[in-house]
Amino acid sequence: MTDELRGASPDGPPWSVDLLADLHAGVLDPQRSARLWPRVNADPAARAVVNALESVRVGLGELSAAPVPPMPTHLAARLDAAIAVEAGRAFGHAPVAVQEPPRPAPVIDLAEARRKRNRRTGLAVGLVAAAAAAVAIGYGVLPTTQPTGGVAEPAPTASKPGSSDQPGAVSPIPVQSNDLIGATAKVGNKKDYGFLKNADGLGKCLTANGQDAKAQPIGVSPVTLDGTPGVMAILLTGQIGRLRVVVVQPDCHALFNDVIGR
Amino acid sequence: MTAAASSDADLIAAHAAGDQHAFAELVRRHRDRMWAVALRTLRDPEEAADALQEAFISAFRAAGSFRAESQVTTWLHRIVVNACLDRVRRRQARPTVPLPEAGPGEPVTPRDAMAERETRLVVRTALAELSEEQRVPIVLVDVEGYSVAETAKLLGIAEGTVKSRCARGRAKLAKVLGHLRNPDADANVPGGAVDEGRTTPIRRRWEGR
Repeated sequence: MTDELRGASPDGPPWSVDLLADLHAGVLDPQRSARLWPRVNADPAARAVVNALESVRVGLGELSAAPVPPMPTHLAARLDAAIAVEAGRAFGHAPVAVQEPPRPAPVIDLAEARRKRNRRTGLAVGLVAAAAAAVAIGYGVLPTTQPTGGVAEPAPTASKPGSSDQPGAVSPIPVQSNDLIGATAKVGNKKDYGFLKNADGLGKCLTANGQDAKAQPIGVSPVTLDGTPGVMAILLTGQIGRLRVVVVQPDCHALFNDVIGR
Repeated sequence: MTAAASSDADLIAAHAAGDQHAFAELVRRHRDRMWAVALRTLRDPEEAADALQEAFISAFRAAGSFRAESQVTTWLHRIVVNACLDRVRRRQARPTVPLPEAGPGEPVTPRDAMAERETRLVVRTALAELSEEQRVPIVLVDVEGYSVAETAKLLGIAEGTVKSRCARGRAKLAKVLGHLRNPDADANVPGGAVDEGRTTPIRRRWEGR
């Protein structure tokens, strides 16, 4: 850097901006500093530089008190989803289905998210929306306590009109197995258990297919998967941008049971 | 327990006691402020979001060890800064990917500098002109208000190095912001140098006075 130059330079005019910046920042040893300050203060040009440096420092300090723009909605939703996952794990109310082997302190795989960030498409929007919906479910609908540890019945406010009140009353959503991502967007946060009737019915089928019966689904809806009737449940996996989709028939036979997403 | 009226410390205590909603409320309260901290430190929104997530998850897990003598905001702030610095270190260990900068290579006219230097936006933009090595100490000391000693500890470098990097960073910012752009200044300071392109190293010693 300039330390070498500084050592060879006189402590005076023509002043080095670096030298003045060092003086201003307290870099110099006390003796040299004490010797320089009176000379700097007596020199209007040197003083102007110090004042400029101080203006910079003050301007930077004002940044911390300045109004801050809010975190972008999609990033905030991602954060909320991660906290929801963590809360689910910590408090055992299982708002999510964790497919991976239990880890002592599981963390959403940020590295993977970063590697694949550039490949995000509309899927990301849908999944973030789904995660945000899951947060709404986890924090807005779940009762504070769950004595049995079972899945809480969704509150009516979380359901679409005519859905959980009248299971199956709405036509099944046509879904193609080659477009399950699009299907998750269609199902959204619906809570229509269809022929499974309720969360318990879904829980039994989830168990039958190796999933956590207590998993709080993001969305549930009757569908036709490639023309075959079933009920689709969308579950969080604990990984950003990845969802587990389970489509079951009335006897819990799985038409589809896999993780989708990035 | 998660009422908005609860203090931060109450929320931490409730969280530690098993209130599953308390921490989410804490996040809601401080998310945007901490987001600003992360963004200032890392610049890249995606990385800042990742760092913030890591930080809040860490805080979630460490809340039980929170000591009431410090403020929750201070505690959270430190965790966020640490998460950001971890990312800075990791970033420094891998090839640099240039980030977009406002008006790269464009000369700053004195008129523009005079018009804009009072705005925080310009200061933020100017910060982006600094190398990470200079920007991070500047952000910690001048923006976030950490002492030189605290910053040195956070960064794992000597206090003198923090001061020196801050000095260099401020000098460059003064130039970028136009504070040093004064061709009519007294001859004792080489004002002409600051009228050169922004990429001109300002650390050189000006001669010819």
